[in-house]
Amino acid sequence: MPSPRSQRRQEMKLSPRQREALELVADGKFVPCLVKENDGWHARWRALGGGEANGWVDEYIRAATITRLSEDAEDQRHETLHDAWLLALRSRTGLVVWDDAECAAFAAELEAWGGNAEEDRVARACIRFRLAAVEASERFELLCETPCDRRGLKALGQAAYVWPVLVGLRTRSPRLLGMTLTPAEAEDFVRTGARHLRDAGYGVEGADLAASITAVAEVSGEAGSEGSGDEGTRFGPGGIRLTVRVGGEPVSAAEIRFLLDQGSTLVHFRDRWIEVDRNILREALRALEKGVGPRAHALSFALGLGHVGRLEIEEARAHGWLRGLVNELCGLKGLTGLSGLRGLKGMEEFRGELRDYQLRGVEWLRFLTRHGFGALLADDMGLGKTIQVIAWLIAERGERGEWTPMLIVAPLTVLSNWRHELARFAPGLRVYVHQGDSRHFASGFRKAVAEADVTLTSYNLLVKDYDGFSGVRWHALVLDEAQAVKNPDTQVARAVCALTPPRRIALTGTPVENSVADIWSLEEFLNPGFLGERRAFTDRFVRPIAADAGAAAARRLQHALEPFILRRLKTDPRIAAELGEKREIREYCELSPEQRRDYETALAAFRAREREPGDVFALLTELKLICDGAGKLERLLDLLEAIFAADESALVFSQYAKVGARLRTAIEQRFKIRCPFLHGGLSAREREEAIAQFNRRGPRAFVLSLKAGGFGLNLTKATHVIHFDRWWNPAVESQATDRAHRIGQNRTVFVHLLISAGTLEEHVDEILARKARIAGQVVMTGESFLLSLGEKELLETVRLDGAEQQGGETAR
Amino acid sequence: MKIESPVLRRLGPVPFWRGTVKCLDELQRIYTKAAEAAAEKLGRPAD
Repeated sequence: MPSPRSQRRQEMKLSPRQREALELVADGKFVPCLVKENDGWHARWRALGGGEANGWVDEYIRAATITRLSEDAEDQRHETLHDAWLLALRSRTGLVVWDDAECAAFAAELEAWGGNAEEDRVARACIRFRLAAVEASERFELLCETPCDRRGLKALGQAAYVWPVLVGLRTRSPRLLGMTLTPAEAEDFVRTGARHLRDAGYGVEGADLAASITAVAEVSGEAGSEGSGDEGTRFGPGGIRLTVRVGGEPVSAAEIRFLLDQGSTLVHFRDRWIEVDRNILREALRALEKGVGPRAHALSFALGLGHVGRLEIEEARAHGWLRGLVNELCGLKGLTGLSGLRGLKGMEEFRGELRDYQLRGVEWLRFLTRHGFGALLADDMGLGKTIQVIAWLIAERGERGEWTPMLIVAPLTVLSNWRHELARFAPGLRVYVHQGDSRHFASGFRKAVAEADVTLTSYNLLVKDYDGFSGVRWHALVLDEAQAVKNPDTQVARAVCALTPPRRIALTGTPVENSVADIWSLEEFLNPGFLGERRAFTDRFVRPIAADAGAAAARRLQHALEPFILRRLKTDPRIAAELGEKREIREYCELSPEQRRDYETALAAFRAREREPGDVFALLTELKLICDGAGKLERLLDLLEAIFAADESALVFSQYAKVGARLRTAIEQRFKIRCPFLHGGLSAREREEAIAQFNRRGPRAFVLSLKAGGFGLNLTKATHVIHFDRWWNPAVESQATDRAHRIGQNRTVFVHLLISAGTLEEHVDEILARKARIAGQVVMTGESFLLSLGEKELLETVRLDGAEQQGGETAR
Repeated sequence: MKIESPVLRRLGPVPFWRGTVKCLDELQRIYTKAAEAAAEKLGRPAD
């Protein structure tokens, strides 16, 4: 067998004539004949319609079909000319050594046989077969109308070759023939005979195979409304009235029973032939007799996702309140009611500014959750999912006016961030952070939760301390980085699904459109039952979409999920216009227990010793290096993972060369990519190489030392700038940021400031922000500002906030 | 043997056939083999 490469070579060498010949052969458009040439009679192949491709057609067929037996056909003895000719058709030369007159006569017969295709076609088109059921009998009658001329009879004779049962046709009247068929023969006629006769140009009636068995759902959403059980329709417990259709026509339960009672899989029904799938029919009958699904499924049906086992709902019509809801859901994305939040009780406690798209996001969350639906907020990273949820939390609490325990579950590395954002935007919300060794258990846990509005914990601790969590009647559950529950078999997924609070929100920045299998688990948490059973979902959506991403199944799923997923992209021009050119995001990180110990030891040593010149600077450096340890590194790697997942690139700045080297190693190990590191020790050539490496295709990270990489470079490939540690000098930091954010950059640049919570990094940041707010500018910045502080202020600034803030305490 | 080739089905048996070999069966074998070889040469995917 030729390799694909050699095949391509062969194809390239083909002349148009050769290609034409090959296509004729591949399509079977050729006939055998017998022709007289200079050296005698030859069995030849010619193309239908003749033409210049004939020579090639004959050569190709001969080459493809020659056998050892046929190789020298002319040297062999044959009983008849016919045998000699048949063998010569696949011999090397095609020569037929036989009596000349006999050859001439046979050649004429063959010519008439193969050459009258057009006349025969007309004759065949005049013959019509019609299959009909014999009343009160299991038998069928096949009738054949035919012209009684020579051509008509010949065409009828040929038909028997197409479907041999036709030899049983007998004359009924001058132009009508007929025969009785057994059910098995009738089935064979419908399945194969009719198709072959049509292919050959005959007319066939009464043998159409009807379309599949489907259903139409009328969905009212009203539980318990009843219809008559035997009219093919019935309101199920979820207010779903089903009409089963066979071949597009409604059928009753009695008719389905009749179809099920038939012995054959092909049933003649209402003058049509139905392919009976007993499993689907049984499911349809059960659905008609017992109704369909619980209430939760009504919406699933109304949005076109309904099915009863393998019985697909081809059309769904919503009625009553459900119709209004479906219309609202489908129109949600155009939500314009931006004033809804302002007047809400308690909203004055919200201390942030929401952009327009964020307001729309909060309205969307409120709409869905108010109606009892779970919402998946899947905005691009950096668009502020956290702040939208915080506004929602405040609105929710304000609206309820009573104690509403709300739980936020997030990966450990972002808990700190949540705690800070909650304190910043919603200082009025009481937050209990269930984390660390000092977290509460049993009655202590219940008390801590009871005294808080929001409880914050990690996925790991939710599973580990599940008994405590399951004992609380949560009003709301928010899952951050919800891809953590994409695998339904994990303990985490089972734990969150078992909590079933009335309000459910999931956040993710990872696109969900590409991972159809994952969406089932998320929706099972958000809207249990909406996507049906997992196995059925796999059969109906995951497999078809994996085979063809543009399949109808994909469109259907997307349409049905659309109301429940909100995803805005930062590249969307309207969003980009709101974001501006640059967006600064503070990312708070937790110190690891080791970092805390080192930090406290360094502070204690500083306090204990006599001051010497340079001590303060040394302390600041030591503390900042401790802050750059494991906790922050984990946060950086998680951040990069999200950035890479969005196919984007990042610049990572540190002011310390040894930290930069460590970051490079960690990034290369985690992501298995080359990560260039630009620092002062590089030659001009090495510097060029590092830049070239970053600019290669694909998402990449580039570690730069703040001093070496802060100027003169144009790295607009990056849309994220991460300051791993802080210089506390906006001028220096923005100079570094401007590597990415400069002419040539047409996207929003996200600037991530990594801040270790509870350390001098956070305290200095707060002081500078406060000063900036008061004075409108930062008067003194950088390390010099710290060096100028008095002893008391300095110790206050470099203090480490206690472990109680990290774990087990309600903070207000 | 099942006659699959539309051309052969349309033409039917060679009239007055007197050979010892079943003509349409043999022709069908040739049609199948030739079509497969040509499709491969053209790089068409197999059915």
